[in-house]
Amino acid sequence: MKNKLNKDLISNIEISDDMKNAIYRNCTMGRSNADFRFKYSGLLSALIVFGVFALFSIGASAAIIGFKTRLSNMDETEYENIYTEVQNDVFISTDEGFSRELRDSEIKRILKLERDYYDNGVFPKRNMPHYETIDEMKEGELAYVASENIVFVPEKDMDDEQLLEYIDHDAKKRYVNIQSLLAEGIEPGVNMALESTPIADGSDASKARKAADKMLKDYFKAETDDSWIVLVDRFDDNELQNGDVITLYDIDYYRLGTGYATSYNIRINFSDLSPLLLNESGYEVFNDVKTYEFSEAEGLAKDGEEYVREYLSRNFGLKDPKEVITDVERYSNDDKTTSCIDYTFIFDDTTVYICYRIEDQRIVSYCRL
Amino acid sequence: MKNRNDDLESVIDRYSDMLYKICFLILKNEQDTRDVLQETFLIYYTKQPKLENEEHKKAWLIKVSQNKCREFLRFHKRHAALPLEDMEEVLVITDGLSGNDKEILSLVWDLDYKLKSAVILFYIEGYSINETAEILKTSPSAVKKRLQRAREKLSVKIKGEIAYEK
Repeated sequence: MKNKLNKDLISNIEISDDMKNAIYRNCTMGRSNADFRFKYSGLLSALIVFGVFALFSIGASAAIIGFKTRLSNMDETEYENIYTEVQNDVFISTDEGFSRELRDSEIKRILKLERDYYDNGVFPKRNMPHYETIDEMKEGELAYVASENIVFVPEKDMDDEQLLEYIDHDAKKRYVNIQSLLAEGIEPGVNMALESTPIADGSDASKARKAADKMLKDYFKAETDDSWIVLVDRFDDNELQNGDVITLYDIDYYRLGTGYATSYNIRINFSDLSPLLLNESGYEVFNDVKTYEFSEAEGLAKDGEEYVREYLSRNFGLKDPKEVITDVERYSNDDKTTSCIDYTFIFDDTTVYICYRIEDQRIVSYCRL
Repeated sequence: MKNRNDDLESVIDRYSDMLYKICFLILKNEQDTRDVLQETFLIYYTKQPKLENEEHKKAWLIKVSQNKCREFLRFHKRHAALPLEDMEEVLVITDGLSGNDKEILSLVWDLDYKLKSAVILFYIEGYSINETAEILKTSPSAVKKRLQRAREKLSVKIKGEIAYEK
């Protein structure tokens, strides 16, 4: 066997000693992600790849038990078929796994139907068909074709039964993926958690969770119930506040589903229970709202800046930034229009990143470093 | 027996460059690459896998990092993949490469995951077809097929630069 590709092709891609040290330090501290800004960068990913999160819960309701039973009771053939799909599912973006993107009208119906599926036990009449070759597929069908490694989505808008098949198929793929990772001794990532983090009453985690619940109401006017997954993660960080080690809590709120539903991430400095990150994301946050041409957005940026200044002063006592950087293009989905403006407020001892939704002057992300 | 932390330090020192190159080429952004490396070494640190020798250890780390890359790409991709030209502005990753190699790197950069991972492991890391298949959890025939498809894509512009001989 002889290879003629230059082996030095990627020799200039190097890891710095600082990065090595940070990885070592984070591993010994049990942290699973390297980048402090990791969480709020989810905002951007929400625009780039929608269908990325799906979570399963061991909830108390009969409907959720029914849904879990449905997944764990897949017959051997169906499980094997889905397993094959999971093994082949290595697309650069989710959309590459489908013959066409979902339309807005379908996404809006999915948001409703996945609540029926996960919370009320409404399942499709049949499973999404799995064919070996495209010849076996019937016209207008929603089906996975192994030879193409693609889910073919009918050209016409999918009906409710097909959307339920889509949701069901998505849930099963994640379930099988989780099982295969666990079988290999690999913990599924935090976004594939099977259940909310168990919390003991009176514990620090409970205190952090209560503070986060209040922030959810105060800053986003959002309410959650038992159908939400709430992940609570504690870690110490010494990269903030002049090298002093501080304890942080991440509290993430998700709903079961294909990833279009609104979710929230809150990061709390445990010493004073102040928020370091308040983040809202999902299809309805960014896509189901008015968009503006870049030139229009630039014209509205000054008003937005004034609003954000007042928000930071009123809520966090942050006044008189040294510099404000405005970016109207960061959250664009098409390089022409945007629904949000990104502001970076630089103060003497801290920097705050804000995602401001123009249409209704909503702060959908606040991140303080 | 080596202290657990010392062992982690030496494993990071020895393998992080190699893993970083592979994952960076696949994920195409620094942040996700850092996170994949972080998670890979954290699994090594917490699971303390029993690995027979250094080669086995290297393959295990690549396998775990590939799983993480797949998970990132499929389930929680966080950052935009950047075009190679944008990366060149901040990282001198094409410095010293010939014009041909720059063009090949640019083409490899844009391959999809399945083809690119096979190309990196086989051509750049020097793994055999069977070893590549083992790491990517697929069959040797699938690896051959992926390499064939990658060569077809790469050779559209660069005739004869990438050979594969038995």
